[in-house]
Amino acid sequence: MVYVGSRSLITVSKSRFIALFIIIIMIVAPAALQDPYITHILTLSSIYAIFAMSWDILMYTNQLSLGHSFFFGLAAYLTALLNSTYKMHPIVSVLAGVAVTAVIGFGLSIPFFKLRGAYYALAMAGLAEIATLTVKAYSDVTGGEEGIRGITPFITNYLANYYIAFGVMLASLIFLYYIAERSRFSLIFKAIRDDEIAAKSLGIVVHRYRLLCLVLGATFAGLAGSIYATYLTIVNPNVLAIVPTTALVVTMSMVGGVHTIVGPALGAYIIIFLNSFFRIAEIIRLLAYGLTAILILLFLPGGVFRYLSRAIDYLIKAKKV
Amino acid sequence: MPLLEVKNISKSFGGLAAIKNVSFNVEKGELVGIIGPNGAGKSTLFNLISGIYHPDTGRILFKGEDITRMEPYELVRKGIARSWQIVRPFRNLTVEENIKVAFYGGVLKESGLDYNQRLEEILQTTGLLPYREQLAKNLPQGYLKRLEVARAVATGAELLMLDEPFAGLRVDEIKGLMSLITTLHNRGLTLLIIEHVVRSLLELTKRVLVMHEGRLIKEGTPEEVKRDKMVIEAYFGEESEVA
Amino acid sequence: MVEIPLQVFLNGLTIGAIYGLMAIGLSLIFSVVGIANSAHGGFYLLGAYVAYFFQSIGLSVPLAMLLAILVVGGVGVVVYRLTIHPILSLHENVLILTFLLAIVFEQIIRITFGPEYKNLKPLVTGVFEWGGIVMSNQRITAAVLSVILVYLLSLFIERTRLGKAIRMTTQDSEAAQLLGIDVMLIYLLTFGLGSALTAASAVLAAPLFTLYPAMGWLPFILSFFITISGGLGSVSGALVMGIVFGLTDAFVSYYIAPTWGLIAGFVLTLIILIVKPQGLLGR
Repeated sequence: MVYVGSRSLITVSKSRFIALFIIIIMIVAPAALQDPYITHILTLSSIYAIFAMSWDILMYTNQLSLGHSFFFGLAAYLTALLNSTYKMHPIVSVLAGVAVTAVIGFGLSIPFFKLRGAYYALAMAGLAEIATLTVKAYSDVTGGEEGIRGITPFITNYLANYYIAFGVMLASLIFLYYIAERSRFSLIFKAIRDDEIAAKSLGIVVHRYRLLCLVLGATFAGLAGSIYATYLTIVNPNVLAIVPTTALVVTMSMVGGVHTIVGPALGAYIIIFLNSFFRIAEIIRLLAYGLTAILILLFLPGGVFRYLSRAIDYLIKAKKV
Repeated sequence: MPLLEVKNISKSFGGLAAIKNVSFNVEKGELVGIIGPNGAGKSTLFNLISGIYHPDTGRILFKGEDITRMEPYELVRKGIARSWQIVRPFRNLTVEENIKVAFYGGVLKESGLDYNQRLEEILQTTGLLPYREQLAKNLPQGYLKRLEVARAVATGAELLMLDEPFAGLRVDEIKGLMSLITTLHNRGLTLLIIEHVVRSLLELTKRVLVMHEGRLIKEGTPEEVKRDKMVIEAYFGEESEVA
Repeated sequence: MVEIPLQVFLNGLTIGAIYGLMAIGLSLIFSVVGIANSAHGGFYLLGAYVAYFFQSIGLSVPLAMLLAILVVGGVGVVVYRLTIHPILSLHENVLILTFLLAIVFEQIIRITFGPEYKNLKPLVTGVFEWGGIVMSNQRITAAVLSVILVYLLSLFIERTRLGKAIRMTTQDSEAAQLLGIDVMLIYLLTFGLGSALTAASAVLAAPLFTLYPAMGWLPFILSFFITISGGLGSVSGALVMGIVFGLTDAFVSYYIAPTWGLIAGFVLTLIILIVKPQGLLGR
């Protein structure tokens, strides 16, 4: 039996097989079903999955943020402005939105250098709140409460939009998963999470890794926000606001399982799907998610993904015996 | 050129002078002990050399380079590693992973050594081989101390600073750790060791520095130090030796 | 025209006192229990809406407000005991948990009362005018009561036996435990007191503005920044910082532009933190 880390090679290739299977379904199903609504749900899920993963990568170095909507909304508004007001090409607008957000993420690392724990989380929340207020106030530029409309989408075909979003999500997932779990950074992240001071005393330049995660988190949140704006063709201050946007991403990640990358992506799909099935009870949606996330936090702290993957591992091993 | 040169360093906290004008050198390949009663400033001295604090006055040189104001992680890159009196393992990582982290932080990354081989060597030397896949939080204290040393060695450091490595260990564990330290010393590592368990330390080392109230009051061989009047006075009434 | 700067100054002073009371509950919990209560805005929200509810069923304004404060204090105790205390040592989870609680509170309010703006009846009506200065009586009352409540809190902490127990627990919870203090009881009490004080600031301040489900977030962020720049462990620090913030907000809002007022306040707190990391009056 060849060992890869501490799991057998057979198990690893089995879970890769399951993953491949799921990916194939996700590619084929929308084309087969030809249902605009379900495809829309899947597209939205893909976008939020990118957003959730971007929050999660921050958690890899213990940088809990309660204001991640700041990056999402910033990119969304930038893209909206460039696209709708200045009539720039959708892809250029998206790229610009992502680039600016990435730079801002990088720049924030300086004032946020010494912040840890609650201070970090709430300073981020403060950013999101200030941004929301600012956007609402400068209504001649940003459209105030109403927001910006008339954004030109990439393409008008709903299926094509799905494949764009799904493709970007898949690429992001693979990239972030690789960096977080399968690269030389993975062990360092784990060490920093475990004991930052011990890591420093062994020569790990901790602030560089925190910076890496912050930039990645900002960039991918920006990516999600830009695509969101382009797909939905409208933005309003909600995309920057703590509630609902940060609330959603925190809930999705909690449900899916923090610092697993795949977990939050899964959580996004779960939440958005529940979203559509509870259409009648629209008003109690966020309440339900909040309560669910609380229950999971108290009783199932690993999140859905961890328990799911443990269950799958267990079933596979049981079958081999 | 001495490996480490400490020149006239002083440090005060608030109004309290913790280190007063301390100077000494450590030659390459030496094993130097630092002893002294509680509150003498031994740990502060370590913290000053390893970059946790910076001295108010004076300089510290390593291989001729001025390291006085460097940060801890820079010093590891230069080749100085320290272990902690109260161990700080990565509790949720395995013994193996704990050591691997040190590879990422240390000097060796520049030389492109074969890490797998080095890992095996270190596990072998420190006697941690049977525990390699155990989570650090499940390890008994004696082995946690070995892990501390293993990690410091894994950074590829030339100068190893051990802060009370024998604290809290049983007699047999102390003997095991002593032989590990001797092995490392024989391999060419330079060691600077703070210890309260004076008897064991005096067996290991040929040169001892004695600190008292922030000053270096005596420097010499274990025999000289044991007989010195000032040292005996400083320790008078102190429970400093393990029975 | 001396009146305008004076008017702005008084505006800032009064809103600042209210900010101080708003922040004090958060500061208390942060100092004593050691957690950042992200549900702070939720308790603020509850305070306002519960008072609104009691008013709408016919209770007198003072009674409605008093009941609201007590109810929210009770909710605080229950919530703390059931959800926070069990995971108290997991700081990260507590942060997320309280954040989620705030969201849950907001949604419950939104479902029960609807998203439209509502109005809370003030404790006192009418407007005070003197020498060109105009200010609503409610605002003056709110500011004065805020200062009084903060003062009473500091008396409670400094002079009573219970207050002493709280101070001891804050310094060293393990030592306090060894001395026979029931630390969990202290935490329960502190959390309840903190929530009640937050609700108090809500019932005093809310009549000056409007009620809406998302109204808790800005007070929360404000309180957090005021708390950490005023100095943890200092009751007067939160009040002083609140007033400083309020004055900054008022002057910048008037002389430059309304949104910039709050932003200027935030920038000021950041500057204070850089210059003196323990906060203005922190230890």
